Amino acid sequence: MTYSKDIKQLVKARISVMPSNLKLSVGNHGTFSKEELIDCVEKENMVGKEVIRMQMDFIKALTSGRLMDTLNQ
Amino acid sequence: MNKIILLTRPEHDTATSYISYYAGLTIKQARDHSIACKDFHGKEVIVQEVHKFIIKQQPKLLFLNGHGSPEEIEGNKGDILFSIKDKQLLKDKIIYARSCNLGAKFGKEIVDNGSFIGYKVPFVFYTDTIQGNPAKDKVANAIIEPTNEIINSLLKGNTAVVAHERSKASMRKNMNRLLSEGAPMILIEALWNNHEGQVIYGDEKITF
Repeated sequence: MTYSKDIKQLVKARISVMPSNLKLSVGNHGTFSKEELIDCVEKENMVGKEVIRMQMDFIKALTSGRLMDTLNQ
Repeated sequence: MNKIILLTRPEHDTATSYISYYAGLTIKQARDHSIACKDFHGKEVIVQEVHKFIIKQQPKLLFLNGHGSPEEIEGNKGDILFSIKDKQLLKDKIIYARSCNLGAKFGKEIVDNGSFIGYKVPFVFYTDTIQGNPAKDKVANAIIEPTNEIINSLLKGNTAVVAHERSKASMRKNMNRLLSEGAPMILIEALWNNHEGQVIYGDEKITF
């Protein structure tokens, strides 16, 4: 599956506001800084695809109200 | 089947160092409940040794930490610890695998008269490079610590499904706390990924 330019832009914009002291651990792929994550999304490699999927799942849950319904359980 | 908990916790990179640290915290809980515990840690996670222990001692609860894929989980430095072929060896067990993707296939296929809790997606977490130490890292703590509730709850005699649900409730509590503190949204995203990706298969009413 490939993602549109708009989706990649959105994901990169969201990553760009992440504090620089944080790194994301993605199993045996490694641990990634903000700049590395943006690069992964741009290249759409395995980690980039996972980050895009994660963010899109979260945005869908947020906009559909499922996130708040779940948090209010 | 014996009331023994077996832990595997390789420790050869950042991810495994963090989840190994958190797995280690459950050992004290087991001892507090006077439950026998076999801890394969770091380089001790040798495939043959772990399999031999399971055959001889028949531990009922397996707490597996390490890198994974839909079909297998690793031991030390990429050695394959268990794959779908090990179904007979893992029969009757309660398994919690804190590992990426095992819930997508492995968990469904190996569960046989026992229970499996794991993740159908990558298990992700953030680390704080300023802290740089699992014991001091509050960012990682908010994401990983709720999953220890699975083992702590099983050690208290709860069913597999109660352990699974308590862990998810703990994740929701942390998501609410992070939201109220104005924490970066990416932390809540990571917790949401793990919350939605955590699955249970097999006998949900089984107890340790």
